[in-house]
Amino acid sequence: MPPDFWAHVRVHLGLAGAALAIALVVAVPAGLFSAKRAAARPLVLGLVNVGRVVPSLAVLTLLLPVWGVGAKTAIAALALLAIPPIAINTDVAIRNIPMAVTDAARGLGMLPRQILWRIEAPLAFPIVLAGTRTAAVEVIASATLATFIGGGGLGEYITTGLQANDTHLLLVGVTAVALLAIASELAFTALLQFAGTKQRSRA
Amino acid sequence: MNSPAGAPVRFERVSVRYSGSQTEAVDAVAFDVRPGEFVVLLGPSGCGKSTLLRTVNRLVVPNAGRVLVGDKDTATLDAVQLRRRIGYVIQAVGLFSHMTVAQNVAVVPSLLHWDRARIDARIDELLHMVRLDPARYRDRFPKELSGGEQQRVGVARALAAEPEILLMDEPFAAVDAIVRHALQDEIAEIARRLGTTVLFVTHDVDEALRLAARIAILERGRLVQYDAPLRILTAPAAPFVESLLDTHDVVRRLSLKCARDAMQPPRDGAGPDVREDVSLREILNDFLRGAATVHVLDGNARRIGSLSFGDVVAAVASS
Ligand SMILES: Nc1ncnc2c1ncn2[C@@H]1O[C@H](COP(=O)(O)OP(=O)(O)OP(=O)(O)O)[C@@H](O)[C@H]1O
Ligand SMILES: [Mg+2]
Repeated sequence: MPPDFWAHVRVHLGLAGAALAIALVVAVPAGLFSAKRAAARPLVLGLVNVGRVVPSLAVLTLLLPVWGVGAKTAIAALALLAIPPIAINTDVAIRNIPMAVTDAARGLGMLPRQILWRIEAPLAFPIVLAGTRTAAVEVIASATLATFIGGGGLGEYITTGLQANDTHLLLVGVTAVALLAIASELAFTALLQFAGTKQRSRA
Repeated sequence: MNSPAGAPVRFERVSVRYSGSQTEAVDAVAFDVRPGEFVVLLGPSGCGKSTLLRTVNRLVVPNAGRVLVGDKDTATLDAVQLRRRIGYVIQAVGLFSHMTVAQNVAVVPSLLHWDRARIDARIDELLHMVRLDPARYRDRFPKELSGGEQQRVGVARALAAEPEILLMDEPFAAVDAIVRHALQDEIAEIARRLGTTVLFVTHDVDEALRLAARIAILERGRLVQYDAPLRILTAPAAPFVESLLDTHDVVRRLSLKCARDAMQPPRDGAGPDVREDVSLREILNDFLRGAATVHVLDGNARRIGSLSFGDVVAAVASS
């Protein structure tokens, strides 16, 4: 194991975590907006999908002239990638709440913000979380590319390994990224299950 | 716990036209509901029952006319405050699936910032009222309940903050006939005991006859008759009302059954005598003339039973 291994893991997770956080801040309100404004939905979801149709490398190339090399550019590109699954799931989650439920909430005299926080948010939470799980795995895998623009992370082992024909280093990089992705998937799944049982057994 | 008596409701030429629609969903409807009265809105699908009901708690805002609750124009009241004084039960129940039975029932009291102990006591009281054992049901989630139990929780939730008015939109349409009858009896009893004004939507003529003090019959957004069940049966004000009764076969069922089929054990009280084989339809005339009770005699002129209008309706509706 290379001596700077854990430092690289930290940078890798830092990039992924920052990208995910930014994505959540953008994607949840975007999904909420598109769910509530049927007229705006194609536009919002179209914009959001930019992250999906444009390859990360192309995004990096586009952002490079603006922000130069470094973590900032890498995080922006990764966030773009994480936005679609979260925004789409938020949109679906909110729109899937039965009309009768929001209707009853209004009829009982809840304010719009009370409906949002007490009814819609808890009901949508598991689906939004599932979208975040997808986004997290994508971001962790793609953060490998950050190394191309000096963002650091586990991708460095892969590029260095390829250049120096060092199979061991290459394998360390590839395996570590794969394990991180799997670990994040498992962690989110556990969180989802926990949220589910908490809802069922709260007594 | 003493509930405030029900509030009166007055519809003053209320019209609603949904945006994009060519016709009025509700067209200049005007009638009064007395405090504590049980009024049923009856009519076929799409005639505007739900729309009219929803003008009361301002989920629908009339394009013309006024709705008065407790003698105040609802347009001048804060809609959210108004809704917290009005219970609302819908066919699809609309229980909150992420909340327990207790949390569902507690929604409005929490919105009104009741203290915890008062809310807890109220939850148990209400669950008893709708015949759900609090110990067993408090902490269940809606998906762990049968359809009838969910409806009961919906009713409990609507009654939680002692509303002056209860709006019920086809609340029992999704449950089977036996459970529906039980729930009908319970809601009638609860409303009578609490003195709550009830506006109840249905397209089921039997349900309307069973429950209503007065029935408002709607046809394509217009009010065609507003009368007591007895008057609706004996003096339909429009061909539409006749055909509505016809479709449900009510009159024929009244003709087919006789006094013997509907009578209850003999009661005291003044009232005309009828022979046991007289049809229920004929007996309606006695009620029309103001009788509260009719006594049933056998061939030897012995009194074998008594009948109220409610007994007649019950006998017809349960067939
Ligand atoms: N939100 C809406 N937007 C547009 N039109 C509506 C809306 N809600 C109802 N309508 C229309 O208004 C009319 C009356 O509808 P309403 O729901 O009040 O009928 P209803 O008597 O309750 O019928 P049902 O027995 O089927 O529930 C119908 O023609 C319906 O299509
Ligand atoms: Mg309706």
